[in-house]
Amino acid sequence: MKKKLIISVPQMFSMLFISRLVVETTYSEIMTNGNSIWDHILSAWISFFIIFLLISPIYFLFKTDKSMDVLDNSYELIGRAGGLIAGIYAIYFLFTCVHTLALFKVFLSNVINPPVSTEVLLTTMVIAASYGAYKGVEGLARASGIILFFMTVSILFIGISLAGDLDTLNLNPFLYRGTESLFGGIMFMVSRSSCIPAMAILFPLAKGNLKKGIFVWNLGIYGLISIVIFLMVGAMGDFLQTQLFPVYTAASIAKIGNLEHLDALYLGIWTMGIFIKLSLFFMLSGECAKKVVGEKLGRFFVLLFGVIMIFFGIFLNKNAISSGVFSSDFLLISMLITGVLIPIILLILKKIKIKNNKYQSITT
Amino acid sequence: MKFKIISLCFLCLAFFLMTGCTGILQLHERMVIQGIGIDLEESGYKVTIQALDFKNSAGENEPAIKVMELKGSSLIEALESAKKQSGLTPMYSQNLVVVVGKNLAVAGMNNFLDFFIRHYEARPNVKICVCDTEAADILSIKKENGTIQAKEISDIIPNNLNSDILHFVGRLKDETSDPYCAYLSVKKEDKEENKSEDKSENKTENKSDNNNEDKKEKQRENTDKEDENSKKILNLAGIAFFSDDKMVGSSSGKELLGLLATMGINDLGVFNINSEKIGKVSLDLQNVKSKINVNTKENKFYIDITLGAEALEITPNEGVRIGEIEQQEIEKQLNSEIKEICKQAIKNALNLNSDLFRFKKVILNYNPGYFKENQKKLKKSLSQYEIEINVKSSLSITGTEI
Amino acid sequence: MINFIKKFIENYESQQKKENEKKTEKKHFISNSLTESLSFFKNKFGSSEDLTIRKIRIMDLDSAIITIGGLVNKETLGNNVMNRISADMKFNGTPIEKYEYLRDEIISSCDIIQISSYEDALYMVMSGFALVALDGCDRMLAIGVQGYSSRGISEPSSEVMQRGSREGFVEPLRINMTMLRRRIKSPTLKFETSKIGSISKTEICFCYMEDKVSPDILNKIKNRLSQVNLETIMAAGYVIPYLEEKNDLSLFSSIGMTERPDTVCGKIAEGRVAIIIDGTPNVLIAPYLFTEYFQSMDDYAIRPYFATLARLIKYVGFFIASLLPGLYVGIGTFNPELLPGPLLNKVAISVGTTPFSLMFETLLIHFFYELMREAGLRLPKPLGHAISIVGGLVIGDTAIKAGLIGAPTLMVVALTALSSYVIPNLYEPIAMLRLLFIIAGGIMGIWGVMILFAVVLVNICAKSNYGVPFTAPISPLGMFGMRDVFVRAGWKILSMKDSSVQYMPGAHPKKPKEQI
Repeated sequence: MKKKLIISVPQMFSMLFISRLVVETTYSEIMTNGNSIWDHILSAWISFFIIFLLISPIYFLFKTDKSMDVLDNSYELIGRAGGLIAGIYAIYFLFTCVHTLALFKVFLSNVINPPVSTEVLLTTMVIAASYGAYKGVEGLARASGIILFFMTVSILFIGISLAGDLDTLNLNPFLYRGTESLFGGIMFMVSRSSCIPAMAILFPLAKGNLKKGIFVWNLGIYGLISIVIFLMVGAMGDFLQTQLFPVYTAASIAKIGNLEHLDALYLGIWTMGIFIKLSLFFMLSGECAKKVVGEKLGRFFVLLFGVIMIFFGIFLNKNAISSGVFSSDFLLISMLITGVLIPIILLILKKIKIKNNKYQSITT
Repeated sequence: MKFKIISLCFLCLAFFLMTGCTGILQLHERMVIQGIGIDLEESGYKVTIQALDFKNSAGENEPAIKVMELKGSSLIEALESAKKQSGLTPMYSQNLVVVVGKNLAVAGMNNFLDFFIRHYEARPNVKICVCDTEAADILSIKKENGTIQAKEISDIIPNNLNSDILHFVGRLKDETSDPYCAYLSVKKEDKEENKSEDKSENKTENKSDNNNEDKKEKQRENTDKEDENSKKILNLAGIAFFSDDKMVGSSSGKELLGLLATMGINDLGVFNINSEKIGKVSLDLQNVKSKINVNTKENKFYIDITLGAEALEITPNEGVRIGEIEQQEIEKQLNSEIKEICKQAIKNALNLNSDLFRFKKVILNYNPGYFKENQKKLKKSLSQYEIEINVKSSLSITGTEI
Repeated sequence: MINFIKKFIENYESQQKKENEKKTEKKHFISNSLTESLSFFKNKFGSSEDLTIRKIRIMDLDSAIITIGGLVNKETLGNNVMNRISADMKFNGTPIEKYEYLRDEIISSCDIIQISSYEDALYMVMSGFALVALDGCDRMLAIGVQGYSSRGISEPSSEVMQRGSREGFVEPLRINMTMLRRRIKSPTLKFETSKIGSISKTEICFCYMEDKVSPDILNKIKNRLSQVNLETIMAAGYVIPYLEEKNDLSLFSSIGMTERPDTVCGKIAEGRVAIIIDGTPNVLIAPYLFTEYFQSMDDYAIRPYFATLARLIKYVGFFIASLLPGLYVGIGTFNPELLPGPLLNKVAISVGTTPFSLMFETLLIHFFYELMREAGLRLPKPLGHAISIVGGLVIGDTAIKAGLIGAPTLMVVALTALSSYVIPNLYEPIAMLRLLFIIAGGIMGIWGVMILFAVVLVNICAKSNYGVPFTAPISPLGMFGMRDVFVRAGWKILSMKDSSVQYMPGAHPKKPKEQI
């Protein structure tokens, strides 16, 4: 089945960059159960290389037939059982949405505690995300480009103002507290790479240089993480240990001249980032569901997914964000299954099929 | 078509269920707290808050200042009791300054700091200071045009002193340094009794001295009965330094200058040199940079201080013209005096187990293995380290003399 | 309730069916008998006074000249038709031959159209043509002798330019066509006319440059307009929904409208199609991009640096006009901690001393402002001054002194209103967005504003018309296209590459090379 190239590679990676950034800007020592956020700069660069390895199966699978995504490949290679694969992906993307929503809830209740009911805000966010998902990948991709610009400007703004408060004495030697933080950081960063399974669906829709896009995306993410950690640690020192969302705290102390209280800027940008991520993964889960049950019934499933998201958003314990199904272990396993294991199996099957076809064409 | 109509009806219904339509707290129903003063009492905390009163304006578009005294067994309990007194919900996001009474600072800052870290409205760049009396006295100082504003108190503390919650807590949580903050004092203009600390000495505090507290209580009562027209002047006396979370001393005058120069804090103010050869020179010290290195084998710290000095006022001895040689003489004398002051200030702080200068951090950066091995002993052994200070100043003389 | 909704849907669907049936109208051919033809006209027009039938004999044939009084220029009619026809004129031949002789040799008008159906005849006579009918002939001649009065060419009041031309479109379609032709003296400029409106039969004209336009876009436009099922077309706005994509719920329109011929010429030179509608000076331009709302002819007539500044002011004005009241209400109500101290004091005092909540106060002032604006538009000019006095005193001064509204709120609304006038073409979407943002901010604070902003952004970005993304070249980003978005590059750069709309990044209509 030929897929129409409807978005460009930069647009696709803008969406994925924002999706990743939403997680990274909620980054903290407490979340990673670490004791030295400074070592996470090393974790970032190690994760940078690990991510390239993890993307490889999807990339090579895509290269065998550029018009097919992982779901098309699964149906082609294993027949109706491909529906199971589509179901797994649908559940994974829905799970990512619930995780993002839970993160949003933690942020709201622990850091902001808005006078507006958290449940109402979450429900509104889900409804807005469902609209974004309904509009399709084209609309989301174009909106991501604009939001990315705003995000970049605001991060730059916050970064410049923090740079003025840098104290080099706050910077510790790497790994002086042991390697626990380093591995914790790697685990945290790699396990939250939900963009990799998303690429498995999005690659056939994008036109352009994928290799360059992957490189720039990966470099941008981990480069930014490193810079953010450097600036936060340099400006805030050990105050970071007490903050669940240090980037938000950094934004609240950032000041350029008379311009202060930049946490409003951070809030706005982060909210839009959450919207893009939720919309994207909601759309992907809907597409996977439609693949299994068809277009008409698929719409019902999309509605059901929205209800599930709202349900979990309201009833999920705000402290569960880093435990149970949202622990780094489970996130890593689920990411590896959908982002690495399934594509590797399909790639092997595809290679075998191609080989058999070649052999058959030679013999006939 | 059907779907659109149903979803439109649903949205309209949902609109009216939005909780934002009900239960909104308007701005004037909130108590905007601008300053918090915390004192320790036997039964808990005495918290003095300065809040804005929007219903009674001080002038056109300017709110009046309201001072409230609250009590509670914990800080948050005391603060939230404000709602019972006034009917307004406190808002802490506009808080500018936290004034800590001396007793509480001596007892330990960890007792109450958690509120300012944890609360969602608390901002980390709120200034924090210790006062030489009770915090309640500071926040209720009467001036000609009303009570002193929290903004004025906050403005007294210079920004480059880094005397805010962020830096205080950062240093507190850091195992390689000890915190400090601004130290304020109240003076009465027309009274002989000087309530401010002696500016040329450091003082150690005995936190378990209950007699001191009783004396101070009596003093307060006496001052309440005194003439209300006596002017109280609030000023920045120096810095209070801590060992872990407990205040162990304060510095002012030349000792303060030494501490600040070692920490590389700019704007040291005016420094006077009395040279036998040249005369009296008043210098404005700026552009202070400090670099600390360590040699763990020799147990020695090397501190390089560079600063700029601008001669604002020179009263030369008779017959003396300020030339290049005299300039060098002034620089030399400045360097040696600064060096001595710094050395003394460092020694005094280290003797009180207060590592304001982050010497442990320097050791950590220089030799992490050594630091790890000796981490527990380092705090006490720092005072035995030798300190070599090298001061380099560049003098510029304003005016027509060359 | 459900039964009501069901009935509503059934009525709507039956209405759609009737409209479709109306489209397929049968044509009635002209009869040989003059009497029949004349009775047809008399039956159609009934007792209407404006139908004029002048019976004469031409070449021994009973004939009639049919006109609508007031639409024809009697002098032209006399000179080109009546004076040319003489009672003594002799020609031997069949009625058809006499008809042809009349058409080719006698009538001296350049504008002669042959008509063979009564529907066309009705249309022509009501368009100001004079019909010449001969007995025994199943055709009529429509002679162009229009002489109806129309408004003179003047500068459009809604699009005033400092350095552009002072001409604006007028109601007659032909005059508008000539204004375009005068500016683009190229044979590639094409005009194609058509009729829409089952009753009004309004003439429309597609204007495009043959070598610039995308055939795909042009065909789509024509197809969409052929599906217009309205009875009357009285303004350009009637037609806009048919030109847009189906189920387009966006606040912004991807069809532009202008009264300036220089603007239209600039647009069609970029591959767009202009649609002139007879009877209205507003010309539609399709497709129209979001960034074009911020462009004006003046930008290209002044120096680039100032044009860039003016452009940036427009963009900033757009954001202020749509977002500022919502942010003010949201932050003031739910997130006052985000306000700097001095500003918070002012707002809090204002809120504390007025009886209404911030959201209600803002909505109230906006309502008053919109009331004033509407009144100012509808009132005759002499009374316009009264509005400004009433508005300024009542809303401005008295309401504040009475303590009904706060000065900061009024300041915000005034700034918003001023900003919205920087881009008059976007006034309607800005007004709606402003209301929505105020409600979102008043209900959910800054969160509501941000979520709504994201939704609106996706809505705009997902919009495309005729395969061209509405937000091009911002997103999808086209660096070359950006030379005329936030900045107005110099003419050397502007003229460097073909800037046709179908070549915008993300546009689906293919380039000529790809089509081959």
